[in-house]
Amino acid sequence: MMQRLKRRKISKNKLIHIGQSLITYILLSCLAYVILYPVFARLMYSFMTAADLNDDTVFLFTKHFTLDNYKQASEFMNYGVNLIKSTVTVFIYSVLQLVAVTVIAYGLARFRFPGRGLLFVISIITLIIPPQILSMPLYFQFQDLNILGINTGLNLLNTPVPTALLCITGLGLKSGLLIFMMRQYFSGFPKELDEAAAIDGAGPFKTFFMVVLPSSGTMLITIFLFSLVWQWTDGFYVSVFEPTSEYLQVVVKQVYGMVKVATQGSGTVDVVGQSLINNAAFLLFIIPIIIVFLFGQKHLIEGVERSGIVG
Amino acid sequence: MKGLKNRYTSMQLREMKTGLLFTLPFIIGIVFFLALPLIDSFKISLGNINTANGYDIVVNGFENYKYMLEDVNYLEYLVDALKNTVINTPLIVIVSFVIAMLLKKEFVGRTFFRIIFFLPVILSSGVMAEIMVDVLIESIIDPTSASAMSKGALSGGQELVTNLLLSSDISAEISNYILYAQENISVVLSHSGIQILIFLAALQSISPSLYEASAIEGATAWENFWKITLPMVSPQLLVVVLFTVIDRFTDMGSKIMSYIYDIGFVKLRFGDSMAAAWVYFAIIGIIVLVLYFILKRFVFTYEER
Repeated sequence: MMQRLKRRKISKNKLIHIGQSLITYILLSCLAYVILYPVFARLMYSFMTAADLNDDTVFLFTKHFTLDNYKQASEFMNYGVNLIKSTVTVFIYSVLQLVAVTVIAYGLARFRFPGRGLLFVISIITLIIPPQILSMPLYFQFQDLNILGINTGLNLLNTPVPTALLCITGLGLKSGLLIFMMRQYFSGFPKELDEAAAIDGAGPFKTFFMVVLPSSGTMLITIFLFSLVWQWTDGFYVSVFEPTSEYLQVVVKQVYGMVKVATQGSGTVDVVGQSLINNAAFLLFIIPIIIVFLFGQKHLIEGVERSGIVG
Repeated sequence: MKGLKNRYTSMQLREMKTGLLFTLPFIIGIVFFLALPLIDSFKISLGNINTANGYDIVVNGFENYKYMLEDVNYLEYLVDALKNTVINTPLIVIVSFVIAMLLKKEFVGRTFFRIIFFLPVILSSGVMAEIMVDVLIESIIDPTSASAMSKGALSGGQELVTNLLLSSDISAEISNYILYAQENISVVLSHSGIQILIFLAALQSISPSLYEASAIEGATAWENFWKITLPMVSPQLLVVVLFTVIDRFTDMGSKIMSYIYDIGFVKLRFGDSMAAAWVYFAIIGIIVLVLYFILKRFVFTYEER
């Protein structure tokens, strides 16, 4: 009697469990579909010709496979050269941002000094200042560089210097958020390690470089990847400080207009073709950063979890 | 007044020096790239830039503010931005919390789903909004658009929800909100990436012993949620709400942000642009501060921490 009751109870629990996971899967799949469908559709449409788009029987799967959209888009964007240009500058910006954020956050998390709280509050405030407020005065400053009243007559616009300067001083794109994450991480970093190093006679700098940094690999990669992703997709700073540069972030915005101008004379590409080329340009622009993301996703996700915005 | 040497021990002094050294880049940055530009931009908002001889700020009172506050477009975009934030923030917070709850348990494919829900952080940041202006492609790839639905991608769902809401006795306002949420789910999801991760981390850091103890007391899952889960994640709830509000307000793709940019950098009405930006900044600042102090009262602090 007892045994039968027990068995029935187990099977009931099991049923509830299966039901729960089924609902979880269905819900998650629906939501994942909403995110993935646009990306997938863009990818599928990039292989289409204008004829496919006008054909009502075509849905996602092309009847006339072509790579022409990519070819044309990469010509308009001068893809090869500009990809290298963008990659190199974005990489440099991210390294600078990583260095600045790490050093500043460590200072804020580990040492007591007057003004520490104020600096932290300021780093948060930088998040809510609309970037236009700062970028306009900075634009004029960098156009005609003035250091402490001495006019150097240097024009730094359209060079990477302004953005690099902002990155290295912890005021680059979303630096406030990165400082916040890094500070939280360092606050949770076991202090015993520091103390042990101090007893062994290491100064704060030696401790930082020899003890703290080597054991913070995941967190450093996380911050670097975040910086990389945001710098890559940044359209604001680059359009203010380097408007005539040919980074992919800048040219990808111009493809639509360029195709229009190019086709007005010849009449070879219609509105549909224009959209297709623009779509291919978009994909060419995000593919590098998606690849980086797929390689680093483990770090990105674990980093946020561990860094403990939570701590 | 005593000297520094008398007030602090030499070790404390050394610590101060090191701390200041580490944060020195930031201090320099704050002075040159934050404080001075802020002062400049405020002065510009009170006047204009005389571009004839380089960079010369002329100050002449609150004219620009008066002008911008009578600008119909600006006011419209301002109200738009406020409305969007008020409507979308609760949605984003709730949806990301639900997703985090679903992703908390161990199951096959968990990593895969975590990657997908983080993907929008890349796909919807910065320049993306400006590229995605191609109406033709947008209408094709929108999973909730008419063309996708007519081809069977999402048929039925909309009707089902509408019928469910009609047959229930939920008030009209709430029904409309749910319908809005359903229609805008792709927008909501595209701004939930980081929030999901924060909640996920928070949920995983709750000690299992709390749930074990409550199971012995015979608590239901519903009680567990309100008495354990919610209080334990309340600090992160505060972070997520503030992050979402800030993120929505400073979204570079929003009309108000591009309008401010447009007046300044395209139409070259520097003073007006800065006045518009400062009004917007003040509004964001006040809202964030008020929210912070209200929400802080509800944050539960665990004694042992």
